[in-house]
Amino acid sequence: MTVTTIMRKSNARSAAGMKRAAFLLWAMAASYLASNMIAGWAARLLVGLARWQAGDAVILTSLTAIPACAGLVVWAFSHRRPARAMTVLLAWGLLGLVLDWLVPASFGSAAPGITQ
Amino acid sequence: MSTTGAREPLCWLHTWLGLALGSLLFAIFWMGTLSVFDREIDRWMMPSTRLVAPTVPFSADTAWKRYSREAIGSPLWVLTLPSDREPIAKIQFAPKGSAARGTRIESSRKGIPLPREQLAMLLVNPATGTVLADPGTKGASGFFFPFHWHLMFGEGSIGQWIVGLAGLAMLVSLISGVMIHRNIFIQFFTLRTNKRGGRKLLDLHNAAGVMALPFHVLITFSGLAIFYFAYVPVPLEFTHQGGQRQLFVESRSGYVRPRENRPASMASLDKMIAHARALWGGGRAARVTVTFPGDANAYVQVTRTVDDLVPNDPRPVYFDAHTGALLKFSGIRPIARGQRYIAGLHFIAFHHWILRWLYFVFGLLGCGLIATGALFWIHKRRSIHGTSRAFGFAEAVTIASTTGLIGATGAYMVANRLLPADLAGRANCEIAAFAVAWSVLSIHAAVRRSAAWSGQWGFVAGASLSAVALNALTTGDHLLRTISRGDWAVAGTDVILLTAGVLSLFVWLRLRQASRVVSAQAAGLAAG
Repeated sequence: MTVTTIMRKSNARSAAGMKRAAFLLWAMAASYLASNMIAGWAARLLVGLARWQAGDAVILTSLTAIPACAGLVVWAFSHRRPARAMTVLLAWGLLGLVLDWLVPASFGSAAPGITQ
Repeated sequence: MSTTGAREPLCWLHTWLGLALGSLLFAIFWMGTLSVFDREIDRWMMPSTRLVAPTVPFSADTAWKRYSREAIGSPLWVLTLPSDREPIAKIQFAPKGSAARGTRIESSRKGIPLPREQLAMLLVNPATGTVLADPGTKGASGFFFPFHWHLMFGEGSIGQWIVGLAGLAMLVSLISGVMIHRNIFIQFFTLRTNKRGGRKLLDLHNAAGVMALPFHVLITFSGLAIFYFAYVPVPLEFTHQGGQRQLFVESRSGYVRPRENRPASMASLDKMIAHARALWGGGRAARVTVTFPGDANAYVQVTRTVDDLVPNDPRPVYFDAHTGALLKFSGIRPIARGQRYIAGLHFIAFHHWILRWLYFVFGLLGCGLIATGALFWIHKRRSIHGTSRAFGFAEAVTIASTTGLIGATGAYMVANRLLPADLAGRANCEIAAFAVAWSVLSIHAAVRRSAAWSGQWGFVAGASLSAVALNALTTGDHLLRTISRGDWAVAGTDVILLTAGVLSLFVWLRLRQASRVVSAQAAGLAAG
């Protein structure tokens, strides 16, 4: 094996490594966005439709979102088509943002002010 | 271990996430492990507080009469009552003229006008009621513990977010670590000490990970779950227009009301404590917080100790400070109590000494898990990339963040016993000693590379054994005396330091011996 071959293999390996590192950052960011948005909408639906107390809904959905976020990163990484997994995660996150913009703020929101 | 199929990308994820954030995770785990015994280390570092736990209840009214003058007109006066693990009373108050007076309360999360670390503090001997000399140290609870959860950057700071990111990375590493192992049960029992180098390191990494896996998952998840409102902010933003403060009032039965700016007297705090105890149906009061002391709208929060409960739920009771009338006691809602249960498992504030020691041992196993992972990576790549700059950097960072950090902790404790008691800014000088020692050990690691291990373990041994000797010399509390007196906090800290010192000495001698053998072999080869 010549030096040039070793260099080429090494460069190819580091390029693949860089690509994966970039994918890891994207996967973490997209998983965080998606799990946050899904938890946010789950809380809002629990309050708005199931008439849950808002604090209960926040705690339950937030606590669920933490391991879900870690699980989504692993899922995206172990997916056969990582780009598709990433698209799904980003779509969920963006859908949550768009819905928040479209749905009135009063839906699923605790009354403003503090109840003693 | 096969890395075919779906395991290959997960193996990459596990390796590189661990390498990128391993040093940070080690620091978080190390400081968290020490924080398991933070109150005990505090007694070691603050000799004036090595008191016997009081047998009679401490009077909050007496404390108020003696030490509230400074607090009148300020936003807060806090009395922390003595306990078994902390046999002193603490009085904290916001200094008069503080910029935060009456302003931060509107935006504060829990209705506390100032972060507790910004409050002036008096330590009081509960038996005599006299003020103890300033210990001149932050101890473990004021340094190791905050370092553990916000890297000394402050609550809600970038440090807390960095720790959160590291926690998430740890969860991802744990999940991917389990998934890449085909024979996790077999690996629990596998430790081939007869094998050399990488195989042994990987076995140690697997054994430490598998043996304490439930603990690692619990401690990582519970650490993130404590700050669920910060790390997962969208559900809160979507449902609470009043933000975190509204959530806390709602789910943790908080209470706030504004200042009236009219003076009024204080009702009996001891009666309020008795009333609160009746409402709790048992338990002892841990803390009395007077908000806006001396004002007509002042109110008192009495919280209970959590040393007999797993949930970290202090069950606050609120009274009108002027009349002593009950304002609020509702208890927290079941789901919030569940969250406090998870938080309680992380804080381990409850009395259970066997479990406390298990937490300490498992915490050390966590440190070992992270360190052996990094060491395995270094060992595996040394033959191929040993001369590259990136490899040298990774190796130096690993040494600096493991033995370097442990050595710096030892230096912090040595500085605690060496610095003069009347030195101005003594507490900050101790932290400076920690920072200087860590920096020097990091430079040593960068210069000496793999040869630095031996010297750094020698430093750890020297610092640990010196700390024990200095404690005996400067306070007279040597191990025999503290054991005979039943002062288990100081004796236990000395025993841990002694054990660390002896083990480090052993490792140092072994590494020196190994390096001499390698040098002799190299010299023999050169001569032959």
